[in-house]
Amino acid sequence: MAHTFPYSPGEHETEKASNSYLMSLVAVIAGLPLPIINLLATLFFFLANRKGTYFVRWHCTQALLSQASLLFINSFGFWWTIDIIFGDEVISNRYVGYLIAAGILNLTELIATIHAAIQTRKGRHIKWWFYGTLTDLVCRP
Amino acid sequence: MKQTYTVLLQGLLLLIAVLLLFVLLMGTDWAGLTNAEERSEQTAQRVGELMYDFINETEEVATDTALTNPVHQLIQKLCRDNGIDYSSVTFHVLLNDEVNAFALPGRQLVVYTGLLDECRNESELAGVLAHELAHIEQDHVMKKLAKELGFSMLSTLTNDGETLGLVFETLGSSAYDRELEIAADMAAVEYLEVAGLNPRAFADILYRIDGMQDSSPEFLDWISTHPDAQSRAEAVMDAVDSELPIPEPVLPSAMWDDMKAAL
Repeated sequence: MAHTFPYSPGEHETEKASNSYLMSLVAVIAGLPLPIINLLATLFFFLANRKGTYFVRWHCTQALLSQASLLFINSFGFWWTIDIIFGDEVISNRYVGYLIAAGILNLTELIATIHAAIQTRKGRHIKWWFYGTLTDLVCRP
Repeated sequence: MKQTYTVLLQGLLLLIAVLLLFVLLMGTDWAGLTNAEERSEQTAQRVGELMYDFINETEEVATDTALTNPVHQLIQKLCRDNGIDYSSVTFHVLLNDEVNAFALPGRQLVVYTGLLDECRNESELAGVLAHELAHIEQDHVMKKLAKELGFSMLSTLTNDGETLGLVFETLGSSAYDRELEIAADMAAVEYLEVAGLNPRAFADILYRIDGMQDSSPEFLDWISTHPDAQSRAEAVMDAVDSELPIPEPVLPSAMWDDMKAAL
């Protein structure tokens, strides 16, 4: 949802803030089989911009927090799959259900990320439910 | 402070929503919804029929009733006493010196004469048969084949000798996952106890396999399909009721002696 930001961000800020979301998108394409790559890419971008302007830092933090929560879900699914391929596990209803649930959450995150990247580029302040409020708490002007 | 409460409340609601999503989807019978089980059963039946023809064409099948009767009687007893549909189980005794027995798709069981020769009493043989019956009952055969060869390959399997040979080879000489082996062992102990056969004898043959693996090449097949025999034997002994009396023989002694004489 678009909210008002304490100040109106400049062109260079909206570009960097938008890139923080794009970074996780690019990593999603490259790193789907290895979920940690998504988080690492977003983390590096966050570190590179930790001294950036408030608008940039705020959006880098929101992107990072959302990626971090998906990491647990994707990692669990990843190792479960590895255990099925190489270990003793067999494909079960629970496994299929887990993959579908993880897929729905990843897809939701993907759509939200694309939306946030486009809107942020236009200078609109996109604040996600929970992650936005959490970012307000941890990212100060 | 108000912001902290908002974050906690939103986080809690999000967590509940995500957990509900997982619980709902993980509890759904996806296999039933997609008829996967039915298709898997049909495939197992078809592969079983192809394997039946393949064995009759390529292997030396024992026709001497002195060899087949004890196997027949023991399988029948194990099935009848444990509520397993005996009429749906087919077995083949193959003239082969290797110590081996394994389950095939379509509820089929293969026993080599080498195993009949190695077993010292009916309970040892019954133990191995019960173990293989458990693989059949728990649908391990198709799970293993689907994992090793892929379900798509099985569902499109035709009367092609080379591929059928590969299926035969896969089931006859490669191990099930350890978890499946243990599940089959525990079920076998139960089958044996219910049928009034001695489950300790099953542990005996497992111990013997483990001890003889370096010296007896004829054991190699059973060893390769049944790794960790010693720890499994110990698990079998742990599962056996310690107060269980040694049961009376099930087969007439002449039948067992005739089988040994016919080998």
